[in-house]
Amino acid sequence: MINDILLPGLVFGSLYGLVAVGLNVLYRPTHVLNFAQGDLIMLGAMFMAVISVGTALPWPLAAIAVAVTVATVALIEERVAVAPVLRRAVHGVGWVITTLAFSLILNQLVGKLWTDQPRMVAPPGPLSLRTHTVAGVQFSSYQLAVILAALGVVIALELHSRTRTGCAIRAVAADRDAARLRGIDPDRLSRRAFLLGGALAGLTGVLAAPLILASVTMGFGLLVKGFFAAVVGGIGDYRGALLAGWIVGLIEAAGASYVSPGAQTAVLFAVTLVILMIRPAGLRQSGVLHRV
Amino acid sequence: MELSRRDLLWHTGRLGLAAGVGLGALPALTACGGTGSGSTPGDAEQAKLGWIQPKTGPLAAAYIPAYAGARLALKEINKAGGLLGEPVKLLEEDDEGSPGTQPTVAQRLLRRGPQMVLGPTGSSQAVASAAALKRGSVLQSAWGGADTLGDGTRFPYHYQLVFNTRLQATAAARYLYEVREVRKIGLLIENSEFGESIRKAFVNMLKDTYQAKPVSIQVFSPDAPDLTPFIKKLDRSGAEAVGLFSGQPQTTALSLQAMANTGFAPMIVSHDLNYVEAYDPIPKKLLERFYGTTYASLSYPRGGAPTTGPAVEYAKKILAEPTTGELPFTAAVAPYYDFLTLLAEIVTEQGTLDPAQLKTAFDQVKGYQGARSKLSFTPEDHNGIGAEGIAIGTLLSAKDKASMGGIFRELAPGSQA
Repeated sequence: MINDILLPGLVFGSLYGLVAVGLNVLYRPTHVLNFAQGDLIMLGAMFMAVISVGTALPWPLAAIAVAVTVATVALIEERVAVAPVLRRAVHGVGWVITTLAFSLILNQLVGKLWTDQPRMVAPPGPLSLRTHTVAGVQFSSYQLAVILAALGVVIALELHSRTRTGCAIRAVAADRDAARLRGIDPDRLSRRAFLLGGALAGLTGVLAAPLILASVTMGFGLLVKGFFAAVVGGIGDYRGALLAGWIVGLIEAAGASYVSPGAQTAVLFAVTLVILMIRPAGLRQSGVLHRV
Repeated sequence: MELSRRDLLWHTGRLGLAAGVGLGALPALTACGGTGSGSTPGDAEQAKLGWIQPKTGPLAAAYIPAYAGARLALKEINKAGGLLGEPVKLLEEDDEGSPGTQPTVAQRLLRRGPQMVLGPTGSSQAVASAAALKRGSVLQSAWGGADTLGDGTRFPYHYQLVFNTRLQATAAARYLYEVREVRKIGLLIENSEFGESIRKAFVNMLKDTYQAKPVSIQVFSPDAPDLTPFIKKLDRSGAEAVGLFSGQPQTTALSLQAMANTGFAPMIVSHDLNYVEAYDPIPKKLLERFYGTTYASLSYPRGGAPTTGPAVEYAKKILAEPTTGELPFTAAVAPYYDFLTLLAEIVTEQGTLDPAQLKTAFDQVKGYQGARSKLSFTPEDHNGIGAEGIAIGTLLSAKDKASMGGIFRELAPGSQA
């Protein structure tokens, strides 16, 4: 039970939680759900694979380089696919098409760059994927690191929410026009959010690569499960996203053990539906979505 | 094809007349509908080759080497004067690598009137395409391992020039049970049509031939992020060897990674010997016992090297083809070179581009020596490759100099070409 469901569920759930957190970082100031987030994560993983094979860059520097590169791509996305849409209609949903289009363009570009060969990326030393057994529990040091990294990201973002910028983001999330009247620049916050969200997507790709391998097709699956986690956790809620990510991971791991693989997605969907019927705004009844 | 009002009236008139007297309707229909060429012997019509390849999407680059053999064959055919004295006209279509686009792609192609079609690549895509092109009666060869693609009664104009899933599974099961005398065999297969057909064939082979059964069958979702639970179950079942069949290179790599991390090191037989570079971080101990199905003509004896002959010449040409890229094994095992060279021979021999006449000739092919294997067809059996065309090769021999960039593989212990 612990070895087959709990630990794998928490590890992969942490990845899904990070995807959901990345979606929330962008959503808070913009009310945009970035459909290209999965591809940004894929870019992060592929860049990490290329750097780790082609250069002698130490892992931390490589991770930073990847985060900066993906953040830049995310900023380009914000400039060409999000800002123009929000300028024309703040409450419109044109971003659904434009972020999806950006995702498709990224897909086309990577399709020209790389084949479908999966690329293994080694964890940073001294961490490894080698299984250790302690009191019957089997785990690897890298698995624990991924869970801790996800927790660390959420704690950092929660602390960031309490800063002036964090308050400004909450103000924009509540009422963009009123925030503007109070001297807050929503466009600047939007740019910052995409930079941060992009860096987070890059970091998620870096963390995911040793576990699920870097490949050009990895983005969509992560996006779907991250989206499940974001909705179940409550859109805009960081802690809820991680909690829901773990739930999604545990359902997936339980499905691998007890349910037919073909029914895993259906089970995940059914559980999500039940949760949303009981708590329509997500597990933690996010403060971003509220009844008026 | 453009159809003027005059043509329409003329053909309608012919059709009405044909309905009345039973003559001439078919040529009119084929001319209108673009179903085949409707040419007769001696027509100086240009050969039109439909070409279905993913040109866009995340896998566009991955598919390029699969068509390297086709590009090579096309260059050779056109250099030799084309088909019936005319260069082959290419009708390229982008299917985005998706089964869902095949009906539309087929419709577009049929409007352009090809006599023969090459592609698509992938079992699901191939079945969808063959079904959609069936009404057009154009010769086709797609790269798909599904057994149904070799059924001449279901797809009369489709010819399968790769070994199918049944042959692969049978060869793998025979190798493990009979040649290596392993009695505890586990199966690790993806949850897909491909995986299911492999499972059935593998289990039936063990049951019918050896009265045995796998100790464990693990089925995983093609997008599974973690194969560790399945690997652990195989380990707990006591499996000494594993038949590993996945259409996704990602999951094969994840399976090996999970084996490496859990310390489970069984003998493995797979259907794919590609992507050897991706396994560099995997312990050699595990990879040394990783075997896979390959073409007998593209194998060489243990400790030896490929003998000079048509296969070596073919490999040299594949390596020199610019679109082969980093995947020479994929480029070499693709069916398209053999399809086009056989087609060119038959067209020359028959002196026609009429698909119906070419089909009749294809159905009578016996023991044609292709670059990868001998090919034989009957009107009912359109799978051209027999069990003698398959061998079990080693994964790691791809790194040997003798392998010519991984195209040839050293035979696995006990395997014979």
